Amino acid sequence: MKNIFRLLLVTVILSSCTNLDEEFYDKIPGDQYPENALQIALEAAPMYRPLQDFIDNGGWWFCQEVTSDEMTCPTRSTDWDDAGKWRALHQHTWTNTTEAIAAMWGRFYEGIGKINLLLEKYQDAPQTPDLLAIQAQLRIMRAYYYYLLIDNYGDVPYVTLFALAEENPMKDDRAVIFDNIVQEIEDNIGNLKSSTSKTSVTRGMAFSVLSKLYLNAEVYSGTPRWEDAQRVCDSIIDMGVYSLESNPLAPFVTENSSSPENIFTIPYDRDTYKGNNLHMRTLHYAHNLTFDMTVGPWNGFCVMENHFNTYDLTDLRREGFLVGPQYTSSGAVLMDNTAGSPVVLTPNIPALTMDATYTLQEIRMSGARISKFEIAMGASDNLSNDFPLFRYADILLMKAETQIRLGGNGDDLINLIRNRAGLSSISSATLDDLLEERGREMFWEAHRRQDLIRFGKFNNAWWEKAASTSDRKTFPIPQWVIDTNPNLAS
Amino acid sequence: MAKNLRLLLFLGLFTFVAVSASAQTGTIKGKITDKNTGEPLIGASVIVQGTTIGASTNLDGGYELPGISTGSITLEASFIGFQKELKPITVTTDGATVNFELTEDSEMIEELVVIGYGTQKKTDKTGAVANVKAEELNGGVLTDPMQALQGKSAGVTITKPGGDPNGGFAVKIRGQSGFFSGTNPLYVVDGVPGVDPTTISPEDIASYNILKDAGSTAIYGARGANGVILIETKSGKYNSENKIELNLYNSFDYVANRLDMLSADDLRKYVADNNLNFLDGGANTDWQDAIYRRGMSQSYNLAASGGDDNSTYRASLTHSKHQGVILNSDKERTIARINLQQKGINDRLTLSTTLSGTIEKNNYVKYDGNGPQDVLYQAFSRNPTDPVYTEDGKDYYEIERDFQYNNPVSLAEEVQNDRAAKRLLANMKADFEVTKSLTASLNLGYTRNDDESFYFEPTTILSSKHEGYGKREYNNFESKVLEALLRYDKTFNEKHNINLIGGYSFQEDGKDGLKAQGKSPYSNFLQSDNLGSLLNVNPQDISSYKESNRLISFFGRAVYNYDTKYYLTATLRRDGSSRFGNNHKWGWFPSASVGWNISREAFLEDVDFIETLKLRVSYGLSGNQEIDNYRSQIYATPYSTGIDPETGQDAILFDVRHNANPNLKWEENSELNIGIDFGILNNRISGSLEVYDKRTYDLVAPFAVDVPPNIFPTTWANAGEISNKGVELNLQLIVMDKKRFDWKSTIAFSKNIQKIESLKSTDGTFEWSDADRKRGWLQGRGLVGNENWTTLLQENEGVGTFYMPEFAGISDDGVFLFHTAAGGVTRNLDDAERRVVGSAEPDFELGWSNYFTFFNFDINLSMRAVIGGMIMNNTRMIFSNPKVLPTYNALSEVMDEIDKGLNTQPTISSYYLEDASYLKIDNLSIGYTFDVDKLNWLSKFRIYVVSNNLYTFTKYSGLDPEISYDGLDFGVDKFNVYPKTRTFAFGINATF
Repeated sequence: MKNIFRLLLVTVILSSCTNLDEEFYDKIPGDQYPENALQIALEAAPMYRPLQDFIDNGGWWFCQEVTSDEMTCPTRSTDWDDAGKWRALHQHTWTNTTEAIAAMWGRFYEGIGKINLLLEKYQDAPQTPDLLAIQAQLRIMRAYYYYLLIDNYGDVPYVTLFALAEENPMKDDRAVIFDNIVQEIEDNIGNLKSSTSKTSVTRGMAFSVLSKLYLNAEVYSGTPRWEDAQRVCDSIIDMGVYSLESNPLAPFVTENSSSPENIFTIPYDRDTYKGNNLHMRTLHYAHNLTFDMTVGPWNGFCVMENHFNTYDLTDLRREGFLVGPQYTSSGAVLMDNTAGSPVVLTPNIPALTMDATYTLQEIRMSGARISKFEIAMGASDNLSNDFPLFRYADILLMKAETQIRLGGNGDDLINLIRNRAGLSSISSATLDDLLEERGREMFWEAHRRQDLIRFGKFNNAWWEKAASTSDRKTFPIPQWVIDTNPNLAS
Repeated sequence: MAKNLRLLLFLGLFTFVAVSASAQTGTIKGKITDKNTGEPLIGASVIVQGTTIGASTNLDGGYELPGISTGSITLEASFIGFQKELKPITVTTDGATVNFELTEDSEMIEELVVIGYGTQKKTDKTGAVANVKAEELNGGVLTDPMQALQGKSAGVTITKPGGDPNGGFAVKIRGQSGFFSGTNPLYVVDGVPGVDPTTISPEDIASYNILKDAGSTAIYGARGANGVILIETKSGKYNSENKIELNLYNSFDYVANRLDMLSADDLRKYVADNNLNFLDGGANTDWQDAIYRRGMSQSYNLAASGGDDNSTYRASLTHSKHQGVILNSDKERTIARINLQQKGINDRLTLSTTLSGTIEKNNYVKYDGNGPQDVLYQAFSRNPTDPVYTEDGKDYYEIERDFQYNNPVSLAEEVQNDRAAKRLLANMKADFEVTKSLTASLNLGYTRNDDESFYFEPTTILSSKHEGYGKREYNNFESKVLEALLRYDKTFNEKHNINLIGGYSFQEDGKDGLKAQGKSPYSNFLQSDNLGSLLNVNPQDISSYKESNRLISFFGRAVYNYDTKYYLTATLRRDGSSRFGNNHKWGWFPSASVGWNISREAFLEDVDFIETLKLRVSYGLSGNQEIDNYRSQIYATPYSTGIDPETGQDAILFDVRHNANPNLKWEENSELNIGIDFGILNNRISGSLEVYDKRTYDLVAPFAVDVPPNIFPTTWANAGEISNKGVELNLQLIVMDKKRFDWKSTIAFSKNIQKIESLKSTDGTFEWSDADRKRGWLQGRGLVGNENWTTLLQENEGVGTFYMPEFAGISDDGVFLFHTAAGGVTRNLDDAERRVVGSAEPDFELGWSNYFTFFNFDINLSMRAVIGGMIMNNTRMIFSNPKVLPTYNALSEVMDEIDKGLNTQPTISSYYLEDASYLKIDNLSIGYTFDVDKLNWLSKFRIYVVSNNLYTFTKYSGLDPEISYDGLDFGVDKFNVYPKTRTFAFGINATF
């Protein structure tokens, strides 16, 4: 008996007595990943992961839209008060703890960190053409995140290393980062494989980022680059793969992943790629009965009255709004049981803050709502419509802008957009005309803040907003970032 | 064995005859019997105190002492395993007959305390070790064996907010001392560490032994920091008669306390008085009545035990069923247990085997927040004019009065939320006596806990359209333990007592599980029993996991005492855990303790009223390794479904989820304990006083790090320190000790002061961010803003410290006013100064248990008081606010608030902070034991009635002032308190 125990003891002790390596079963150890071609192909996919949060809690969409003159999020009694975070964006009184501003930073650098890690990993691997193409995509995507960083925050730390990155990096000059990323994109476009994908870094996507950089070069670096912007827009047009849809709302339908107009999109899916829930924020509480939704929406965001009024009655793009009496899917009058009356949406919003002195109808039914992105019947809290970050119509309007900026005429391109929307042609369009058309066409697509800044109008006064100081053209570096890296405090 | 011993003693002593034949003498005769059984005790000894004159009893228990000088003497009768008895008598020449009835000395057996890897005489302990015996435990309707220990031992805080039969008890020894690590004590059941105590039937527990100080827990190394609770289960006794015990009870369980809500008519009056638009549902529904019911509990326990010279057995079967007071919340449990012991090889080898199996079924309701499916929140908020059922009675009545407004009865009854668990514990131990002094032991343990859950939401449960949802889940856990131990016991020169142990321990835990879920069921009948009816099933709706971890240890202990007067104990453990970073896999955990038994000193020998007086000092280091696996590693996992960016097809994306930290290590706990054991007035008053200073540092938490260069903004690392200092007093009082009336009383008093000493690592690398320090977040209808946190982790304060705007009144226009830093008053919450306004941690705790026997009656009365803690009553904040009317229901108190003119949305402040001090009568039982001496088939028959949670004295206005001190966010009542139940049970204990 004793011998058996002794044997057992010795066996156990010899075999595993002091082995404390963590054994992996449901996780792939860092040094064994990726394990196959499919994983390698998808290994770089996390570089796009932060995009999924962009139009919701990632904060980017809120920062571009709620700060602008085209939409708003009024406080409806106690609903949507949210400690004033929406009012702060609307009135340009945000601080470096305002939620959307704090969130956006983390998403951008999450993408950059992942990219830096992968680039470092690929450095020492055999440089096959596939791997070179993936590295080009990574570098251009990193440039895209830095483009968003300098666009929103101005001077930020430009970090391109992972393991050897400085612990507490300092801020770099916006113009220097601009030069770097422009160069990075120009250098790497040639290594991209030809692809029709709208959800990865393609030549079309790379040119789009580049065109945005050049178009806003004066803001970023102090020096305008209109010719370069025009050249890059032409490169996209000359590719011949993108074209305008005949219906202006076609790029936004539920099944829009193959729309020839979209260049680079966030590939939302109601089940497998969640995050497109703008309809939840804008639809009235009772609208679930209009769209047979499985959930009840939140009654918040709406279009600002002045912007709504820039749409001509014949403008086909007005179809992208819900206004007036509302109906259930079976055609019955849609009732608001709490207000005790039918839901009738008015373009007019009496005030940014509607407290209990306003009627329930004013509180609950003010503001035209947005259905630019088709709301599928039976929708859940997430839509399947892909969100275009870059779109061909935008490229055309950008080129038109460069034509006007360079002293020429942009009417042809602007009229392509206007005619499609059922509007008559315009002649000798001015920059103001162009901006207004951009407003109508690109509404709800998170371009407005950047456009207003480029046109020098972002600090103007508008509805329920006083003129703001020019430092509001960028957002402050979030407090949580400064807390961990004091080098970014000033 | 015992019989043999008696015979041996008898034979040995029979030859000893003292004859003295001069002067005046008499002969004393008598019989010594067992008081309990009346059987003669063979070989018991009787001596004349102060002399060497004595005799031992013969086969009939009789003795004879001839030739005793006349006069007053004291006779002392003693027998192994029985209490000594003294009788003063006067001897005459006629002699005398003096009979003794000795009581079995249960104390003798239980004077032992179980410590890590061994036992010790209670008088030999040098650490803060408490022992609670089976008969001292709470009885009655226990949903968990830990409930039996509630209020019984100072410094052991056992709480459970509410009365959910499926809810567990939070057990904290000397304050909780972790941020994100597990702070439950380590449970060691019959020598197997890490066993879930809920798998043991309360009836099978022989004793709890609690190791509180690091001096005692250091022998458990990296798992000792939160204290250790050693549970011994009942086993058979050698040379005992076979017996069968039957214990059963049946109880009615009532809602002990309910919220005082407005009735439908109250609401109608409010609407009429204020001329409001209102949709009257036409009914008068008390929604609490609608979801509550009278519960029933039953328990049946049958145990058979016995033993002969070489083996013992005990087998028991327990079945219990608890029906909760909320519809559809139940627990049913069956536990089978066998303990066997067998001796062999000339009694040198002892094999002990334990086999235990548990089958448990749970039926849950969801009530943990203010969500659309939380039964309590929906019941409190639901309009009392809404009926439960539609007019034809066929369906649940649903109306969308507002966003997420659902029928709580439908939620409770229609949602399938079940669990089935199976647990197995197998344990085999071999002790081999190598020499008289050296024992080698090997202990093998295997635990397996498997559970399976069934969840289904039919499409009909919500007022708005619901897609429906179904899920099945399996979770398996297994643990393998091997421990080898050498023990050396020796006494030199009668005064030097040495006990040495050395051991090796290997433990490997593994867990794995499988989950499948989906939406859009095409059948509500099939529930989750056939997931085939789900249409909407996506990638990652099927998932599984598997993990393992190891703990390897070498340990030793040396115990020395000189003449049971001076004690010295030293332990050392070397622990290695797979969970930690490569640079910190292994740690040392030493301890040392000393004891001085002052009552053995000459100068106290003559002090009659002091039986025991002992001073103890211990110091030790222990650790806490209860964090998740793989925290120190970088790894990739399937992260989400997504789109292959190149092809646009669905794909599974992998992601790197962790910043690696090769320096991640265990939390460390250093503790100084000074204790005094005392017993005075013939041990009628005895007890222990402990004073401790416990510091837990290198706390493990996710800390904010720079992004960039890190990918993720958090890294798991060690930083910060929490101290717990306190005093504990355990008192045992024998108030009355008469033959027919016996009253024992125990008091457990404890005071613990917790303080966060530091929130950053010593080198400053890791530090708690401001955002993470804000805790106790509240939610609720109408509560706005994103600063609704109530407690703050800050240095020099305890974890549950409320840090809120201080209420300064209500303005004329009905808005809350708060104090500002400048000393003024503001109506703007943002300008209010946050202040320390109280703490959820109590000032002190008191347990008081009383055990009476009066003729054949026995009465147990256990009370427990927790004094000084506070609760933030979020439930009151939301439901006493006039703004919820008339769509939602409110507390009756809302009318007072309206009278005060309150006219603003719910706002956090000290206004809703309440004193949560309470005194509970936990347990009152009255039993009657019948005289069954004449029945040879029955040896004991007792009937009893018992009430658990009989009454709570408190000023707290919510459902229950009892909170758990778990995690970082306690002390907040947010619609998540299941009503406590008051139970009345009738039970029978019988032994055959």
